[in-house]
Amino acid sequence: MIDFKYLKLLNNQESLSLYVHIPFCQSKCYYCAFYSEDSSCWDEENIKLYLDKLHKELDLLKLNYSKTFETVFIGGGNPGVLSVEQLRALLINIGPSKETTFEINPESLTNEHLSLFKEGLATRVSIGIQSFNDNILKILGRGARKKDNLNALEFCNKLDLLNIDISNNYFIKNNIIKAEEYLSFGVKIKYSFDLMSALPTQKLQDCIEDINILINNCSLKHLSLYCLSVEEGTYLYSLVKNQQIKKNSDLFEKDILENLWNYLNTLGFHHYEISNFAKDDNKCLHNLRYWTLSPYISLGSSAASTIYDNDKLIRLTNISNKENYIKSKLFDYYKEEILDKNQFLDEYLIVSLRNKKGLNFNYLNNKFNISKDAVTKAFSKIDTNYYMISNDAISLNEDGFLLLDTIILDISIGLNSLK
Amino acid sequence: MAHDYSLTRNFCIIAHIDHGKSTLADRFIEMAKLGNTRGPAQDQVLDNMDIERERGITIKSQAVTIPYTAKDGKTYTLNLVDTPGHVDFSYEVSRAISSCEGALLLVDASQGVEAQTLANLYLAMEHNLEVIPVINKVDLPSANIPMCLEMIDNDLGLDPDMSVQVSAKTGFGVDELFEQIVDFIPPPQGIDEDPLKAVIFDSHYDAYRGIIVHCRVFDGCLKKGETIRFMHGGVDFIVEEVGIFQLGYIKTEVLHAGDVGYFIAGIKKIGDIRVGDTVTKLSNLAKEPLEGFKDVQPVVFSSIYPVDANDYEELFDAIERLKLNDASLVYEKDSSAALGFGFRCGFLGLLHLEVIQERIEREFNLSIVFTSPSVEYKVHLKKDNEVVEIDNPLEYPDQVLVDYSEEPFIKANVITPSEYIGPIMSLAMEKRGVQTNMNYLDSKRVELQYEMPLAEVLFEFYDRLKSISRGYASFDYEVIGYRRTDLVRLDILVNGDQVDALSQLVFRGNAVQRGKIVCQRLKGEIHKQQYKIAIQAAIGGQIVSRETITAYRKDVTAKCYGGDISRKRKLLEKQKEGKKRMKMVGSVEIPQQAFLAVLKSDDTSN
Ligand SMILES: Nc1nc2c(ncn2[C@@H]2O[C@H](COP(=O)(O)OP(=O)(O)OP(=O)(O)O)[C@@H](O)[C@H]2O)c(=O)[nH]1
Ligand SMILES: C[S@@+](CC[C@H](N)C(=O)[O-])C[C@H]1O[C@@H](n2cnc3c(N)ncnc32)[C@H](O)[C@@H]1O
Ligand code: SF4
Ligand SMILES: [Mg+2]
Repeated sequence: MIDFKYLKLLNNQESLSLYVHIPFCQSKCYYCAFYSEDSSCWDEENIKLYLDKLHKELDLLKLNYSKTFETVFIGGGNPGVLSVEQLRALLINIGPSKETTFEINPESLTNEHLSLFKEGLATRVSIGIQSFNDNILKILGRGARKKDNLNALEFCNKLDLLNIDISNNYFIKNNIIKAEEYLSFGVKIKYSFDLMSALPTQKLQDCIEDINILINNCSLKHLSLYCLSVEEGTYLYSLVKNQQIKKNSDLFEKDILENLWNYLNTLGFHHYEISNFAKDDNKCLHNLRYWTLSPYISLGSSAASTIYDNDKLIRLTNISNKENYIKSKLFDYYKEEILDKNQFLDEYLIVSLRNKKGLNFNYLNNKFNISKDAVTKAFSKIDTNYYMISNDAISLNEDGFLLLDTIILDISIGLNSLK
Repeated sequence: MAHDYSLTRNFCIIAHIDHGKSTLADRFIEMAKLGNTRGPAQDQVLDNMDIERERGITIKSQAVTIPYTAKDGKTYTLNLVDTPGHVDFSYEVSRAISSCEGALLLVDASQGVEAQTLANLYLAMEHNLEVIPVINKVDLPSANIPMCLEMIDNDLGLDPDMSVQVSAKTGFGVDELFEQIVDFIPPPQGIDEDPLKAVIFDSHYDAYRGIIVHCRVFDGCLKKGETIRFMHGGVDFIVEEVGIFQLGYIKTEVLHAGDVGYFIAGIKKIGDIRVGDTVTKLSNLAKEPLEGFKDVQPVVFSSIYPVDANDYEELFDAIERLKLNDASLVYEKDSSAALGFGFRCGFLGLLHLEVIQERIEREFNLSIVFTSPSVEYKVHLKKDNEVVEIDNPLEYPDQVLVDYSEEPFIKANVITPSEYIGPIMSLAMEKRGVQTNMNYLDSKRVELQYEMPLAEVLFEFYDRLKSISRGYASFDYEVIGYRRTDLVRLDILVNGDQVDALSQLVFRGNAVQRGKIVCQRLKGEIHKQQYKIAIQAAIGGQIVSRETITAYRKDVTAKCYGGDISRKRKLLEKQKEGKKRMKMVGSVEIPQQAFLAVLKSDDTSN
């Protein structure tokens, strides 16, 4: 018996995105704290059972949610450990959306993956480059080397050249969606890369070089640029703790980020989230859902969902253990939280201040009964060089982005003390 | 109707710290089958405060009544008091002793006699208690029974033939000990029909029943409905309930002469109760009160402030209630520019201070700040040869008005295995100690005596002593009087604003070093903020040390995907909790932890 009481809520969501977590990697990168396991912990059989479970949950999900998903993201881990056939089956079961991304490590990309785009099963790919410097890649414990990364760029060039014929679209062909409706989504093929900065031994010039390689070898329209964070529990953390690797000072990181942000600016990229840059309308629609607290449901171990019961935000989290996920009942979430108003507000601050759009006055007023004046007052503690106020929002500028966590803390305290 | 006293025995268990008193009490309770009703046996059941359980030490004396059927076929009522071993709580021991006829003096079979073994024996002898020496932990491979027997004979002057060998852990020998108690400790004297004389030795506040008074009845008896008078306080109450302690409170009809128990009497004002006061009955007044307890002499002083100024009233309640349960705490009102209204408190030692701090935080859920601990100085002013007693740095007069100052000195007694003599001597010297005696107790153990300033002991002397002797040295002291000293006030400035709560009175020769340590500690504890922060130490306006905390330059987490949001929110909630515990000095937020870090003003790591 399935006792997932929230299934009934799904049709009430104003729209719904889907995240699917694939917790498998060939090897574990030294810095990575995401839930994923290296190949010594799994075999083909595990993957098969894991996928079976995902498909069963998807089937049930679709019985209860009659619309198409707004956006879809298959992340990990490395979804590239799935065979193209497995990935294909998953994408088919998921159905069409305005943007369907899968994440993949460069060394896993093959020409076969192109077919997924030809058939309209996937519309976007996110590739973890991190760096083009072999020494650094080695220090990070990455599986890929510079040549793999360059191959990935090759792949993207092929994507650019793909001739997308709507009559090849799997979903249209199989009457899963009508052509007009699909066209109204305005789907286009997109790709994005992850780079990391402030890595061990890395200098500003190395990062600039990485960006240059990208812009010189493909038509780059979206980039995620993460500043390395040393996460507890990772191998990197122990290296830093044992002083085998030196942690960068915040001054160094500030310097590197300011320079890179500037550089990307001059290249015409819009800095639309702390770590994300896009040209024109190439923002990642799926991630924007997170940063606006829009409803999404997640499947797979460690995945978290945000859905609403009227005006209550419900957060569901799956256990970070693949065996448990495989064994457990369908939609047997490990943890469910119904957020109170303050928690909801904190989450709104956390996600929306990362966003260039910032805090929306209307939203604050409607959801939390907080006036524009009150928000401005809470900001009076913050140096005016860090933010700007417009008619409908208050948002951080780049100097403010650098101090985001401190600012969130101050504003949260400021707004909490209103009540 | 005469009460049969011959079946009652009142005794306490006394010893040096960690010699196994509470564990022995466990065995007594277990063998009396009191523990059964509570499921699987817990260790040190009488150590029921969280802080006692966590630290594995007893802080409060705890009384329990257990029935025991002896070999003679009779069932005896044993009133047992478990006491703490740490010096700071010796007041608890003296209160326990005054309610007993006998004491079990425990000696750890591998450690032998230590400082508090002697000190507690003297307390027991002062009150004419019968003392049974008990060699404990005989199960240990390192147990040295011949050594202990000899020490009992030579050092304690007790009859080694009377001693009982036990293992409180395994229960070995405890049966024999029971018999010894029954045979050797006299039953209480006292006559039910005499005028009531009962001494209050403790009290505590119970959320449901109000104030519960713990007493030992010497003469007369006490029943529900009777009107009693506190002879010292001169206030009267009607008794609502009497009873004895088992694991919990057991209501009884009457407390007889010789009984140890409790009563409830609708007492509303905490100030009406004074530990050591004598309780008598209005209908048959006693002629004179029993001898009370010696007034406690606090030796360490510090001020307590609520982190949130709105909590002042609650802090007052908390301190009053703690006082009810800990008569050795003394306090008066105080105020500070940096910290607002609070209380100046006197403690029996540093551990006592820590315990009070933790109890206020846990039992009353209050965030508080303590100022640097201080001793009491006698400051001689130039004008009129006036002498002022000062324990609060903020009351220290302008240096130009001061002729000279005196500080309390102690006689410190250290007993240590001989291999640690060298480092202990250098520690004592560094602490301005002057050696007055050195005495080999046997081929391996040495007793060292020093005269040194008490103030030096406040700053982690004890911890360092323990660490250089691997825990083997024991330490004990008594205050011997005041001696001339060179005193200055060390002030701490944060971005130019003086943090009055961090001022300290220190010996001039230590001031620069101490200033440096305080600045470094503060630097480690004050978080980066949006502006640069300067931390300075000053003596009379002259800066002697400086540290700088740079401004935040980058503080942002790179990645935030769907699964991260709740984790981030929880982190934010924790940070907000932390901020609540901060004090603003000028525009700088100083976490409570920073004030505490300054307390530990020696660096033990070197
Ligand atoms: N091996 C052994 N260990 C014992 C025995 N009695 C006590 N211990 C251990 O000694 C330690 C101290 O025991 P406690 O009973 O807490 O000592 P205490 O005298 O009550 O200590 P304070 O109340 O802090 O003065 C604990 O770890 C006990 O388990 C014993 O007979 N044999
Ligand atoms: C969830 S990971 C999975 C991506 C994919 N498996 C890969 O490695 O290419 C997504 C991205 O987060 C970034 N990331 C992971 N750990 C990070 C860390 N400790 N600090 C900064 N960025 C990190 C990396 O850029 C990575 O590509
Ligand atoms: S960074 Fe990507 S490949 Fe590396 S361990 Fe994390 S999820 Fe796996
Ligand atoms: Mg104990």
